[in-house]
Amino acid sequence: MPKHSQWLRPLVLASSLLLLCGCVSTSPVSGDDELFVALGGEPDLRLLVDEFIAVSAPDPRVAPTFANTEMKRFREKFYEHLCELSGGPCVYSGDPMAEVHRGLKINEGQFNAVVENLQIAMSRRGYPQPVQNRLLARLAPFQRDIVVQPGNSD
Amino acid sequence: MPEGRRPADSVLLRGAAAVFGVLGLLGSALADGQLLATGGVSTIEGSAGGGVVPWAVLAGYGTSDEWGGSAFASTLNTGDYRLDVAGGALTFNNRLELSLARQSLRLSTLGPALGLGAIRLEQDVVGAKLRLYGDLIYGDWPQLALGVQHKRHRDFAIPSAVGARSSSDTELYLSATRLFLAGAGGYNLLVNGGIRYTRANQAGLLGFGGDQGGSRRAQAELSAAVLLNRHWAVGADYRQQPDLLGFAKAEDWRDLFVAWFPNRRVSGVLAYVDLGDVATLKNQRGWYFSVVANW
Ligand code: HEM
Repeated sequence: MPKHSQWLRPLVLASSLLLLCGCVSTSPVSGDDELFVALGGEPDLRLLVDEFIAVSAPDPRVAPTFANTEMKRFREKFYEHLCELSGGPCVYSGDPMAEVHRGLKINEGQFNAVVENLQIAMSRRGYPQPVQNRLLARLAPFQRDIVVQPGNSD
Repeated sequence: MPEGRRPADSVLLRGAAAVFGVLGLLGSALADGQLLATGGVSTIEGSAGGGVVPWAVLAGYGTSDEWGGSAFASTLNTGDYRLDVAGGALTFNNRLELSLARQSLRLSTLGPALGLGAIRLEQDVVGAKLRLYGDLIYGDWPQLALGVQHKRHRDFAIPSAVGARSSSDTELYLSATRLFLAGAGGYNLLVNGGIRYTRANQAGLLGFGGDQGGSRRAQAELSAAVLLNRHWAVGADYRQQPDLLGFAKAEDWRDLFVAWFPNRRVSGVLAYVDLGDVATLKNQRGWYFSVVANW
């Protein structure tokens, strides 16, 4: 065997395993509150929502969509949503994601802009990368409900 | 080899570059819809991907309602060889990528040994990549793409002398790429697996086919990268090589890279590349630098 087989085998294994598990979507909400705690619980999560709103307000990619939104309600519902999603002791009381965003004609770029603003807000709030990414991993499955899909095939 | 030996080729390439430039400007409400780093960087063949392995992602940061593109310059120096590449790509609606690259390989050791001085071998690569299905991040399927690269060697005398059969060829590749959020201990993990149907010797720099075989074969191309944050990624590429020339064994390529994405306009790559033995010269290893501009 050539010497590079020692590189090839683990790489092939890793990529096939990972590509495989990419096709099996995992449930976004796990039973425990580990992530909620890592996010600092209610006080820090509320501050994160405020930071996110502060980052998004001047962002021309997303701000116009919120022109007619009652921000007090959004801020509360967005908090509840993140709280529930991270395993915290909340029950989201807003409307379903698909329903809320359907009429807003949100495109892929706007969704990614919201992800990016959340990343910026989380970095400003001092969260380590793994905590940031775990929250994003739970938000990513909503992309298909929120974004107007370009085709119906994918 | 002397410049301008095939003026028709140069005119064609320059014309194509001009068309690219104009199209790029036309599409130039900056295509910024994708997340930072998710456009990958430019491979040595012009398609978007890692350093030497094309990924299923398309060049630039455009989404399905945008046009985008990239231009790049790269250099790899192993001491015995130096490869310089320049090129660019255009992406339409995150569906189709068209790319161009010119590669110039300097034979720093072999040239003088053959009494030819520090000669260069040049090759042009014209590529197209079609996103078939799926998405890098969202939905249930990894992003899948089918690519084609047409390569034309411009200095075939040396490849021909060592047994290569053809100075140009067209090859197909299929690749699947996925970014797993929090996939590596909380860090985002990018994984790419691809298969190329090829008979290129050293990616075509030593021509196509040889005395040991003339038909194309399936070769694996793999990459994995960990995103340390939005701006930095570290990873590895592996690219299997066909071994069709009897005069010297071809070995698989691999590299370790660090990529920096300060913003959507530019990115930079530093890699340590191991090409194995190349055309009788042992252990060809060296540093690779690349700069990519996106719009
Ligand atoms: C992972 C991504 C997202 C999550 C988790 C999310 C979550 C929410 C939540 C919980 C609400 C409140 C629903 C309610 O009031 O009952 C909401 C409302 C809203 N979202 Fe999103 N959203 C996301 C992405 C986006 C994007 C990308 C945009 C557009 C740029 C957007 C625009 C809006 C607007 C305008 C409203 C207010 C709608 C209204 O006024 O009734 N959202 N979102």
